[in-house]
Amino acid sequence: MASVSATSLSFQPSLKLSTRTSQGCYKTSSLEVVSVGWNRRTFPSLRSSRFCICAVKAQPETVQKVCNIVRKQLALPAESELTPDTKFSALGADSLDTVEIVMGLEEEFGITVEEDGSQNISTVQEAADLIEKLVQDKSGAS
Amino acid sequence: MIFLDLPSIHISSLTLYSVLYLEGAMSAAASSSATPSAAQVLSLFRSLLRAAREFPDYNIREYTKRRTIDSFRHNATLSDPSQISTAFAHGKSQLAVVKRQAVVYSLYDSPLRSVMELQQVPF
Repeated sequence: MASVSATSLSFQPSLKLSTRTSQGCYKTSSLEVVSVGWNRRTFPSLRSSRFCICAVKAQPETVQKVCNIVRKQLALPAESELTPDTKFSALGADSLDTVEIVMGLEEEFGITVEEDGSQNISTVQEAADLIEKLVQDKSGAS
Repeated sequence: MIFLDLPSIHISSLTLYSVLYLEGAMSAAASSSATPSAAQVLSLFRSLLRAAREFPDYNIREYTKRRTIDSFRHNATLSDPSQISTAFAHGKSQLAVVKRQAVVYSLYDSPLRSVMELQQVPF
């Protein structure tokens, strides 16, 4: 089992001699699981793998809160369109603004964002996903 | 002949101020040689904002935040490496001062809170 931040990779061997198969994705609460499976018609020694990706998906309320904080921080008008995929740089934010946004999010949600984590935030959705993960980790630890 | 009868707290605070000033000047002179990277500058900015949170008093907390943001915005246009290094060293010394002063203020924290800290206006 290899684990990298919010992504977990699991490989399950399969001995079946069958044609290539694929699986869809399903959702459970705020956890989105995308599963891609394949099997090769080959020798049992060359076993294929099942590849599974788990990522935390932010709730709409969290995204909305992040949007409000970004609007307040960048002094954007209330009627300005702000989608989850909007980049901070597209809104005219520089690196100092980004740090201020992250600090505002920390105060709002009562979390601490590490420096390496804050450098990866460039859109509203990325910020919301990171917050959701940190809030879950915090509630899980307590 | 006039005698200035200064209370001991004034003398100690003056002494503390002079010590902090000299310490800041020495650290600024010592570390003004290497030009800091953008990541280091942002890290200092983040550290100052985090340290500002530690002040229990609303006015000082907000002043420190505002002063930090304004100073970094003002110095964002600097291009001369020596000026950048000097400003960065000054910022580091100010961070040390802020951290110490936050501890001092927390020792003498008042139970009264500013009306600005109310989450909801009661009327």
